[in-house]
Amino acid sequence: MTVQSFERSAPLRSWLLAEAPESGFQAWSQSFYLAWLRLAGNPLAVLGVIVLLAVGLVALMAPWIATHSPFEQVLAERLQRPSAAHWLGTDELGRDVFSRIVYGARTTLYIVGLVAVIVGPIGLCIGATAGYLGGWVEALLMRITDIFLSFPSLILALAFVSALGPSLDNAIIAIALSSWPGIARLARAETLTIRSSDYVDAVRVMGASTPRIIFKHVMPMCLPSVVVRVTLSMASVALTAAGLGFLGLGAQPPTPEWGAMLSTARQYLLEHWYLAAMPGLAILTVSLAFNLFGDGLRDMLNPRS
Amino acid sequence: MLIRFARAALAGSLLLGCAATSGQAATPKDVFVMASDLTTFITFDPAAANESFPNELLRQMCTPLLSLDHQDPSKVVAGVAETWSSSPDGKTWTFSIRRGMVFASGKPVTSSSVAWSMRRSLKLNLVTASLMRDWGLNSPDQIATPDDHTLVITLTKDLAPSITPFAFTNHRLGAALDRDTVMANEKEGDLGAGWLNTNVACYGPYRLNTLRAQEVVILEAYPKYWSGAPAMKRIIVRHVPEPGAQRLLLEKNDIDYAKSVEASSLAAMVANPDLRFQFKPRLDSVYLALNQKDPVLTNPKVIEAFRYLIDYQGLSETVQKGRAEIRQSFVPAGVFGALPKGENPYRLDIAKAKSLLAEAGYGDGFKKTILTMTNYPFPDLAQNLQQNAAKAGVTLEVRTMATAQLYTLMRSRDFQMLMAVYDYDYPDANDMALRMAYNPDNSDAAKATNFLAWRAAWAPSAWFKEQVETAQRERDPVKRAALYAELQRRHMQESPIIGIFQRLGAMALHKRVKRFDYNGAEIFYDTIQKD
Amino acid sequence: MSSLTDLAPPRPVRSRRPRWVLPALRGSFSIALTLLGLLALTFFIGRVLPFDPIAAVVGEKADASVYETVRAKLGLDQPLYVQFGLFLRDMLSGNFGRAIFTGNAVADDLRHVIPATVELATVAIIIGCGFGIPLGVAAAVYRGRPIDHAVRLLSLVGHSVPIFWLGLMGLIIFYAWLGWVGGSGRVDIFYLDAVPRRTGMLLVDSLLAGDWDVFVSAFRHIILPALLLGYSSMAYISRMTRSFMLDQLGQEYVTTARVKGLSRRRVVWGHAFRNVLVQLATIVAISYGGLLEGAVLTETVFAWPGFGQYLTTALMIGDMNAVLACTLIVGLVFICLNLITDLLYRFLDPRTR
Repeated sequence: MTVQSFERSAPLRSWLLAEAPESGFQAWSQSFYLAWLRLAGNPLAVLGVIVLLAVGLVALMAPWIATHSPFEQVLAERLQRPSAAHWLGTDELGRDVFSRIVYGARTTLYIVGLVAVIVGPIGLCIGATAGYLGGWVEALLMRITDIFLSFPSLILALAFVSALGPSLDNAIIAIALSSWPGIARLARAETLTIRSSDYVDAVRVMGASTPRIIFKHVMPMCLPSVVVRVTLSMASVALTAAGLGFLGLGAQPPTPEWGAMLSTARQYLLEHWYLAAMPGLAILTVSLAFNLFGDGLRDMLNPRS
Repeated sequence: MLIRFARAALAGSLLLGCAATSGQAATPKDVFVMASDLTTFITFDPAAANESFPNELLRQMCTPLLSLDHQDPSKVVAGVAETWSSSPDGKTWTFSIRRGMVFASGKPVTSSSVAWSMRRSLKLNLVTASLMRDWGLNSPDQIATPDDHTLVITLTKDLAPSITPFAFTNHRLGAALDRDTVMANEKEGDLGAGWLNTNVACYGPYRLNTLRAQEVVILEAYPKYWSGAPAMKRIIVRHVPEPGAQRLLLEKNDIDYAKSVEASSLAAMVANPDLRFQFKPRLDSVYLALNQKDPVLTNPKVIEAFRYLIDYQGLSETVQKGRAEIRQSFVPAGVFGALPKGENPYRLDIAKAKSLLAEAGYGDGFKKTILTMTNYPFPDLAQNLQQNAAKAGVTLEVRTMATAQLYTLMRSRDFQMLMAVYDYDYPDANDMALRMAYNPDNSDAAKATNFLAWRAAWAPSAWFKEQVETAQRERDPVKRAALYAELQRRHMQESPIIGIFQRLGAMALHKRVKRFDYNGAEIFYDTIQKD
Repeated sequence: MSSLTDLAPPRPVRSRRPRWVLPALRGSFSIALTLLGLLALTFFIGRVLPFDPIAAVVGEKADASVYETVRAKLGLDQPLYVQFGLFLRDMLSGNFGRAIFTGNAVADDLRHVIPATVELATVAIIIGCGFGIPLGVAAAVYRGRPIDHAVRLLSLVGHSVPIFWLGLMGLIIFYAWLGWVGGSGRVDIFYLDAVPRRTGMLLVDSLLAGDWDVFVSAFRHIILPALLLGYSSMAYISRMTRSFMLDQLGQEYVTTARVKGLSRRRVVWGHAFRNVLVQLATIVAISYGGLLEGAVLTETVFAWPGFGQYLTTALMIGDMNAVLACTLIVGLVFICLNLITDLLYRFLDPRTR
């Protein structure tokens, strides 16, 4: 850095690092900057972010990255080993495995993204409402979450998909149904510690209505831990989705989905083990990336001295 | 701390190592070990058993009245009955039960054993009763036992006498049950049905020793069987649901016979000198059914278009290589009444399919859902059809599901297109004709799932009905065969049930198995011989 | 995974009754209510399932009359709430009905499959603790050093890896290629029923009978699935151990003790570790419950005749008797585990007394 640019950035840095912030905006920016520094100092989390971005990029640019169509079956070329023509070989119908893995990223991210978008807000709402209102509302809502929680999520998802019929969308609904209780419980726990705090009392005294309190004041405070939890659970959502695909209950053929690819690869395991290795590695990568990122996010939002 | 860790790791690997050196046992000379999928084992009751593998086992423990020849399935030989004859009209059959046979409990096997078993099946009204009604055996009065060793059965259907014996080769229909033992275990008037779910009290070369679903089944030889105890004193079936794992067990010498190797690489296994393969065409038909309740799929040109969208050649040379042969007519090869092997008029022709669709008014294509089983290779077959259909403008959504779910939807006729396999019961064209080309009552209420034509909501024209019924009665085999030939040819042109393949049964055996009888319809354990 | 992070607010003590009576009553009522809700949920899912077990029983060739007979026999022709009521009544007397796909009483089936899964889960948790705890402590003690990073990465991978894939890879490598471990099933075919069944757990039974061959065979079959499940629980255990130990090691008494001259080993194991033992116990309990979930897929891959496989098959067929009984068991296990952790936390944390 030249002396000039250092001097130019100095006011920004000193503004960000000032001891006593003079406005709400400055306080927000400061906490973001400090959190960002913490994240950047955590190499594993940065790795997670990079991997996730890479996977997202792959999913987005799939038509340009994939070498073949993921659906094109060439029966005469089935079960070929990796070669220059097909980088990861071909599957049992002669489709290019590499392209199917690339497009599979879309399916996986679609599932994970949708589940997160459904589960986050719903869990947050229910948990915050239960925690704030207390009484029979809390008891009822918590009873319902308990019922859903006393079931391993895979089995619950299995039951729902069996009931709704196997398809990608039903798998998403099933996984969402089995994931929201954890978020709700977390939100409720957070709300319990917040609801008796001073500023919430102050807002209440000032005459704010209950929905307004919940939505504008309680929920934003729960947001950080909920976001962390949702990010971390995305890792297990990816695994559950793969598990459902493995059991034949997720995305239906010919949609390329890593779990389903693993399931069909089972039959060719001995001769063509690479058919199973690649999708598994892909699932592992995505899940690992979410875990790393989630961990980093947690450290970033709740620093430990 | 690290030292502690290292010590633990060392101990662990030592244990693994010593475990690894304990040798792998080859199977003993008079024990036959096989691997199969034992996930479900609903019942062993001859009146109710309908699953394929449990029935295969039951067949070894319950010898029927008559048996199929071990090599030639069209020949009927003696079973529990020594001799048999029919009345001139072919409706009354007299059986002479062999003397000197006893059950394991010591009670003698008499004609009443068989008669009681049949009457019991009718009374319980489960799957076997349905089979009996298919043959024209509707009421207990049609079964008579003039003496201890004579059984007389009168059928109501008019059938050629060459067909009827096949009814009695079915072990569920004609098995001898030990009445006293079964009734001793009766509960609440169920005629012993509960007990027979997990026990067997028939007369056969084998007896049930152990049954544990999802684990193991053990049969043991019955020394007092009339033709002597079989060579294999014990038959052990291990639960191994993965074909790959079955193959490994076979290659590593742990088992003698792997039942489900269809999915794993046949080529590599065939090349293995330690293994022996027997290929035999099976009594089944892989088909594609188009539901005639769907307005688009009733159009004859649409149906014909689908005949040209299946890549018979390509699939049989790749995905189904060594596992199935093209068979577009509904009588499987090797069965009386079958068309010659090469007579498969249709092949993949997307251009033709497109023009047919255009002629039918669907030049822009349409969207349908095709249901199929999760079992190998159906998802592959369905996906291949999906791709070919897409090239002709038809969008197919593939949905795979467990067989039980599929049956439920077949029953409610709640599907658009369906790809599955149908297992026939006996090696005569009559069985196939009845299933594929015959539908006496096409209404929803009939729920006649036993007719495949009903499932597809297809009401064959009067010509078909007459042809099937005439062929049933025809005594001259040459004329009969001609009738079936004509039936199949017209079926291939008009029916919405499109035949695709006939599967091959691949028996993967270890080379030390010298003799293993499979005639295409049944497997016989009592003649198995090992080195 | 559970209510670990939810600490209930303290309850004021009012009456002269012993302190535990009211909470205990409330607790049991709450559990019963949850279980009932769970059962009702499962039951109605089961009835909404788009297929029915009748088709599995009669196959595709039965005519309409047989179908109706079986429907009546299975009691499926009665209205839903009647069926549910009958089920509850039978269940309370210990009768879970008959499983369709095995033909046995569900209670008998469970007696066979539960010990199989318990055996697998127990060996897995022993492996998980045996590796997880020392590694977690090491990672905490040597924080920031390579071993810390290695342990964290290892544990993260354990969290992220699809267990059925690991199982498949393990089978190829260790069974097909190397032949070190046994294949599917619990034991070699010839040792089936070789030892009298006392606990249903082959490792224990064979030791009790003194049959070394059977033990080795059972060991060779269980080691791979147990290692896999153990790895995934090790991931969680080592992570939490590290976190708890870090908490402890950062406290004043540790520095004080070190300053006073106690060896590091004594401080770590004698004091800090002792203090985390109870928390660890709750973690292990939660892990154990989580293994039930991992078992479903692992049992499928290894053809392990356990509870997970039983439940999956029952779900695929629509065998409501078996599904409901299994739901009950799973629900009970999870509820108990939740309860234990809640109680232990309440016990531990003086703020909630």
